[in-house]
Amino acid sequence: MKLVLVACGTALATSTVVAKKIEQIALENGIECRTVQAKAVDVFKKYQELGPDVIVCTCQIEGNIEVPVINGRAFLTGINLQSTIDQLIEILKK
Amino acid sequence: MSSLIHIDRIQVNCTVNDQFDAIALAAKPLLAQGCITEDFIEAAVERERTFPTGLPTKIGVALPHTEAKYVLKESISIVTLKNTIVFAGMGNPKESIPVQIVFLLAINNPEKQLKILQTIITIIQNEKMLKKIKDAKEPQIIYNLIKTFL
Repeated sequence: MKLVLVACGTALATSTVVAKKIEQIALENGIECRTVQAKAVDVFKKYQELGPDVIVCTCQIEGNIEVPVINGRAFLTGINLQSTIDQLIEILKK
Repeated sequence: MSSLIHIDRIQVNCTVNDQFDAIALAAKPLLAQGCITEDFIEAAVERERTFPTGLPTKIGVALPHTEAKYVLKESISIVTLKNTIVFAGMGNPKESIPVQIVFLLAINNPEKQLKILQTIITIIQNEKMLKKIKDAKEPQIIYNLIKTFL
């Protein structure tokens, strides 16, 4: 089971939409995956606690993070969406 | 139609001085309708400074919002701007994004409001829709446009 940490400023609006899209993409690609949402200020703590496979964020994040970080803005704008999806799938299929 | 969006929560062709003005203007009807606390505006402005919400779609969109504790009744306010106003980019505060449509989100239960949030994102990804919203001369037009997506 892969774990995706999804972060935005308040963990209220954008991360919810992005998390659902990621779950759907994983399902369509036969990847078992769970998402956890976090506020920007809690991302580093959650990263240390949960050890996600990847972080997708619509906010800037700080701290020394050693897993891939994907900018999730494409899931909102649709701009460069396919390349973002490809990038995510590649990480999740590892 | 989702009860979050009302005709009296839509303002068209507005003139504002800057992004923070735009947030305050969008918050006005929500405050008058008892949907948000008075502190909501300051909190949303502060959040916009720290975690900006501008999106670089062809017609720029911003999605200002803030924490749930300032929300009394979940609601969404829409403002279209006569002239573009610069917001900073979501995830990239150094990026300047000219915005012409603002969706101010007063949400405290995103799981429950997922459908309307997804609808807004679907609209943002639809350039023709954004143009129609930007060009709308009456709130009713925007209301009807969004209704077709719900």
